[in-house]
Amino acid sequence: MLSIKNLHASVEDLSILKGINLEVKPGEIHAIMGPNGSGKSTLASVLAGKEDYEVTEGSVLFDGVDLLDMEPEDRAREGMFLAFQYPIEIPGVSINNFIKTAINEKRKHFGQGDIKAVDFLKKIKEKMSLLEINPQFLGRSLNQGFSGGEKKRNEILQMAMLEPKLSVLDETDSGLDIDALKIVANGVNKLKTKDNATIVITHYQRLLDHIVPDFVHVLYNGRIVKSGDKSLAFELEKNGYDWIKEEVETAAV
Amino acid sequence: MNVETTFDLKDKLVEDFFRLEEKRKSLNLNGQSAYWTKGIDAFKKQQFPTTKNEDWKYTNLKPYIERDYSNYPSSALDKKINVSDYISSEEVYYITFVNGEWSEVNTKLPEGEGVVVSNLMFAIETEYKGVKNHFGKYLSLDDNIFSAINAASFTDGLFVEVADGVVLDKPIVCLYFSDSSQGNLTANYRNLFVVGENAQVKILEYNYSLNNANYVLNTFATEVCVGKSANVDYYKFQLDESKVSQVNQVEGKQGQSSVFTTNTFTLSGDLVRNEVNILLDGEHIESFLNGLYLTDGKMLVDNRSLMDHVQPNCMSDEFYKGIIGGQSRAVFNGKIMVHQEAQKTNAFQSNKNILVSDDATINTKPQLEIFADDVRCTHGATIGQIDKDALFYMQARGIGKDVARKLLLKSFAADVVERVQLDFAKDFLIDLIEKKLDQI
Repeated sequence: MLSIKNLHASVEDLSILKGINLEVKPGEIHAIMGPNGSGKSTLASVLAGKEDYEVTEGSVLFDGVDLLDMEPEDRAREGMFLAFQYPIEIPGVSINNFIKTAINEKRKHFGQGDIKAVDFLKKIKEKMSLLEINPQFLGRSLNQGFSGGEKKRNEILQMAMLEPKLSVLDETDSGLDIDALKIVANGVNKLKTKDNATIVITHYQRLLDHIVPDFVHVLYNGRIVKSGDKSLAFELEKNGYDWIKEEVETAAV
Repeated sequence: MNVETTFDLKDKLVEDFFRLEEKRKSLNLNGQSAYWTKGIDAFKKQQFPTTKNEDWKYTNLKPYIERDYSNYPSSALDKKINVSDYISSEEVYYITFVNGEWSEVNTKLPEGEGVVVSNLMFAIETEYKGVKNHFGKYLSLDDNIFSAINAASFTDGLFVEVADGVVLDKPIVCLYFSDSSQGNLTANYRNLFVVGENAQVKILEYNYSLNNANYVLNTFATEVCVGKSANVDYYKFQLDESKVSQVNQVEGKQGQSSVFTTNTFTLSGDLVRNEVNILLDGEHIESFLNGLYLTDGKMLVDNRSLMDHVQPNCMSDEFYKGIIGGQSRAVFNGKIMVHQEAQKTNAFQSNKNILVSDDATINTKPQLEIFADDVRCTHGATIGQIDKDALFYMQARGIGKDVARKLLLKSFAADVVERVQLDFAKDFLIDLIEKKLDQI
């Protein structure tokens, strides 16, 4: 579904990603871990299409289509969902209204009319019940005054309503508490199907206790330097990143 | 500094004055006839301000006063304007003016005890108590040339008098139309609202243009006397075409424990200058000024205000927001004056602006003069642009840039909209904002 080949990216002329290779197939959960400064957030931002980041080399294909050539809104409409580390507050726009607008924009993109009010209501009630979210949540202004956990709930609800093919969760916030982690994990697990895929970008192994990945990759200095299965995550938890850094340095010699 | 032009608006206005005076000769003005003369005398003593005048620093009058304007009636006066195109006519009382003249056929007034709503000239001729006791008492003519012009040249306007304890069952809508099909036009409107103790009334003014044929310069002067414990909810919807300018003056005086809300919404026009001065003449008064301006093209919107706290324990709250695009310009100057006796004053002022184009400009200046020591006064002014991070967040959810931008701007205006108390006015404002954001 996602094919990243030799991806190089920089921000303000500083080279951050130095040749990323990654293949993600439907039904898979990939975790990307790494020390601070390794390029985790940059990878998420490049996939989402943030303006400040410049791709200097390489390609990203999403279902065979050049992702880097697409506007951020089109990437989303074609089925990519980026869950932000710091979701923005938008006072005056209710969650209900926001999600409805997003759905209708996607439908417009595919030549369909607006979703019927009754269908929307049915769907959102269903998802809220699945994710155990209080219906009163809907009327609140987007992220305004939300706790960390509430922001995560909002992201997961949007994910549930937009039904993306590929979700990229940028979870590198070191301030995240265990409840918020569980909300994210619970959502991802409940929404997982054999046709969609998830990339979890995280600093801690803790999250991976709850979202069990099929593949774990270690990002160091702008490259994926090691890949394995979930046991790799345990090793990192136990021994930190130093042994990886040593391995990389030794290999370079 | 004198402007060298072959045409001098001042001379023209003096000429017009005599013509209008002739027209008034047949009317029984009950001693008010001297008022117009007072206006022309005050006018002759003044000059149009230039940008060297602090109060007009960012608002250059030159292009607007270099044009020749005339008073003339509209050809549309006799025809019935389809009032339901503009308002829901069953839900309100309404009165209509076109080119400075009252349109009787497009008017539906309340009948019965305790309330008088009429065109001002009728009120003057009938010598209603409100006119006798309040007309001309609040508008100063000597330090404001447009007030002087208005006093010298007004042809009609809205008169509302509500007796003590009366709560009006429906809002009053006043429609002002300009028809400049015969040439550059000027019309001058004078309003007077006298609201008794414990009375309640909602008054809405709408400015519309029947066409955009030629240039228009209108003046409005409104005197409002709010009785003790009364509640007045006042709205201005400024929706003129791009060649129509107006200079608008509101002088309000509030009595003890009264509540007065002035809402000014400017969505189109040429030069729109609004000045609102409120005297809080009593204790426990609440005064609100809400404003929203959405400007584009070559609009120039200039909002100025004075909240004059002369007695203790009052609260004033001024909240203005602007979305400025195209090559338009906005000016904001809010003054809060707290006299020495006005202890325990709570005065708030906020002006927030978003610039949405490279050529848009805003000049905002809060002014506080505080002479009491036990007060709480805050003011804040911000100027910003659309939040790029918020825009990206929405795009990352599949929302197109234009839709996202519109949603963000709507949410920016949302808290001003929230302050509107009258439901149909709120819905109308939401609709206007929706349409305007497609243009800016």
